[in-house]
Amino acid sequence: MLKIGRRAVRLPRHEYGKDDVIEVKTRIIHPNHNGRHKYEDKGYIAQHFIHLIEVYYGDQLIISMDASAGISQNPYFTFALKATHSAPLRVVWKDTHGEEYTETVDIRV
Amino acid sequence: MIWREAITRRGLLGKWIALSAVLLFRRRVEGEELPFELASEVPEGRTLQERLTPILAGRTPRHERVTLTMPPLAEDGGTVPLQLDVESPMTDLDYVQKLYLIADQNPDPLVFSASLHPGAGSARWKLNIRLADSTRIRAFAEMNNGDLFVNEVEVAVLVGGCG
Repeated sequence: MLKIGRRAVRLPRHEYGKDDVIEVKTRIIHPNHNGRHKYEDKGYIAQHFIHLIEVYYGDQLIISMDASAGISQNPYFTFALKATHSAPLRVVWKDTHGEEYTETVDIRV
Repeated sequence: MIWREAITRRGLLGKWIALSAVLLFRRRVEGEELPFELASEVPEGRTLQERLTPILAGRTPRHERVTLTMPPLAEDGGTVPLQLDVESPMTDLDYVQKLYLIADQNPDPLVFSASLHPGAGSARWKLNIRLADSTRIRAFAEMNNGDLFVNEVEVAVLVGGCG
């Protein structure tokens, strides 16, 4: 089993220029327990999921997603981004146990 | 070193059994520590109406500009892929401000609500969601001028992914 919090943000391998729309892929290893799965006869696996995904392009918060437990485990999120300037792209995941995970990649145009 | 006792098939068999018993027991003890917490009850669900009302806010959404792409049949409700596209220039004057995804039959129908900034330059997303049952899925896009657009699809789910 992969460790919770292992994460990746991937930019396209191909060359991209200024103002090109590129696809950014993100994924984090997380069980995203929704609190509805039974565990033997001991009860239910308690809720534990990524409830917030934020994407910063430079200092600007460009995407902020409030998620419910309706997102699959190991949340995968791909979004299109217009590469208008060179800046770090930072993705932040927060889970319901107060853990925060961050990954940064550099957009170069 | 001299062996006190001869190595016999029976002797080795006995040792092997003892060793595996010890290893098995250790695994069981380690297994007591669960990688998750337990709860006595499931979280409270939400009604569709409760989730839709604040999104609609009295408006009637138009069936334009939003494209929601999902497989018509999902074998595993635990992981259903979707793609969401909104036609928008994404400029400071005209951009997608909010995105909502509603799965009518889920215990909490609101899968996500999101805010966007024109700096994203595009509103095209892909992600995987859970579906409890065969359901209608609605994707809402709210523009910065308050216009509300929607697209709906039906997905048949073979094995639910919520419990």
